[in-house]
Amino acid sequence: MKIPRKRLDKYRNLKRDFSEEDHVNLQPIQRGGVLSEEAMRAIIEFGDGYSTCDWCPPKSARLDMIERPPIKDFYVDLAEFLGMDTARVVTRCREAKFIAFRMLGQPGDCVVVDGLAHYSTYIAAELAGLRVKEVPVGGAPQYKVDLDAYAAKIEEVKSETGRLPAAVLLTHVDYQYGNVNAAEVVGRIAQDYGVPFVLNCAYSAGVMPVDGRKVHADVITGSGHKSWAASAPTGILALAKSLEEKLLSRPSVQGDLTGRRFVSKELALLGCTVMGAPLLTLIASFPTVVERVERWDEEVEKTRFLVGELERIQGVKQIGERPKRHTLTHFETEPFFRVSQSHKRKGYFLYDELAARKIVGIQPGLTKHFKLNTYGLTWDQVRYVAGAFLEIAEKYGLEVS
Amino acid sequence: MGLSESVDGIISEMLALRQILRRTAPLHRFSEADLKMIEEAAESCEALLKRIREEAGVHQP
Repeated sequence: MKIPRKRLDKYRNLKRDFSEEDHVNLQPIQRGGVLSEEAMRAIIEFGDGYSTCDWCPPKSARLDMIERPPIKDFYVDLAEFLGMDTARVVTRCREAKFIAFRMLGQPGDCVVVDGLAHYSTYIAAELAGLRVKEVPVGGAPQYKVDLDAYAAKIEEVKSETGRLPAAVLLTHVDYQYGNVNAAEVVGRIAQDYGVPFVLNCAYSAGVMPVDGRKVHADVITGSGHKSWAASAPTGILALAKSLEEKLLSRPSVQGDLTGRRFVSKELALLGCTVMGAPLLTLIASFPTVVERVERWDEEVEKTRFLVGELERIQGVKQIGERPKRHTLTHFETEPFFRVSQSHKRKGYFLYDELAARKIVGIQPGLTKHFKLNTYGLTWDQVRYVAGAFLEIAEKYGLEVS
Repeated sequence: MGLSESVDGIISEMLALRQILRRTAPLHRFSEADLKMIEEAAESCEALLKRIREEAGVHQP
């Protein structure tokens, strides 16, 4: 079918509504994925479809064996950086979780997860045929996962099914409150029971130091577009040596007519995974990422500063653990909600006021509570954001100390 | 230096400038170091544009 030219016009000259060059973007899931300069160069250089495959097939016909560009070396360095033995790049963190669940469990098995796990953890478990058992989360205002309860949950699964869970998963930093969990506590429990420990580092690895060996992780999953200054879709699957054979097993399928087999490929990865521009942005940003995790303390310091400034508005309260140990932050903002009740734009007034100051990323319509992330902003930008919130508060007659 | 290298050079300078813009958004209050980088990038691009005209055989008015 021929599509009229006029209808195609909307696909030309695509632009974001809010460019990073002209706005401060506080979107909680976007800050860690802002590209490095090197990654921007890589997009232009490797944007063409199979551009990573100029020298493919290498000796072994697999993406992770390509030496030019240095994909093979990158996988080795990536594993070392995470304190793991082997690494692969997949499409998303959720795919890495699915691969781990699928290859570690049998249909009907259980996986133990924290009650603040991302929805994709549950879906990955379902697709892998696993049932989910949740570890409870404490109440307001800190909403901390009860890490010691992992042992009781493992016992519960054992007594209900007669089998140990296929795996336990901990979300290192949760998406709701940005709480940092002590992964080593769960790592030790999992080790004691001999259950594989999957650590979901979507919000941690790539922005803050993570050492899988230190916390006894058997699998680390990560998100390139969330935390590694890379384009989507990029996910990370990093493994301890002990699980390499199980998770990266080779296919045994054989064509019944041709007799073809594909034993050099990795079954759960369906052969080659992410290639082209997304992979190359991840690789190109790697030197930046290795350096930036060393500056994590300063990133947290900026967040704590912003929390202090916003809490000068009477009634605004940061929820989740205190003091903050991560840059993703959740605020309860009852005073702004009160303003919204009589404002003609209702809940959208706050978004409008921020947008007028070229600050974006707070979900439009929210005033009772919202999340933001300051990762990678300069001190000047964080001060600018703080000043904007205080100015808006004063404009609407809220009490500011 | 060929035409494509000159084009790459200009893109590279512009990407460096984009990083400065991102770092200084939304007010774009530039430091001395930023201004120096912007000036150098502009000079470099002017030289590269001149070279592109010459190498492509564009007739100057």
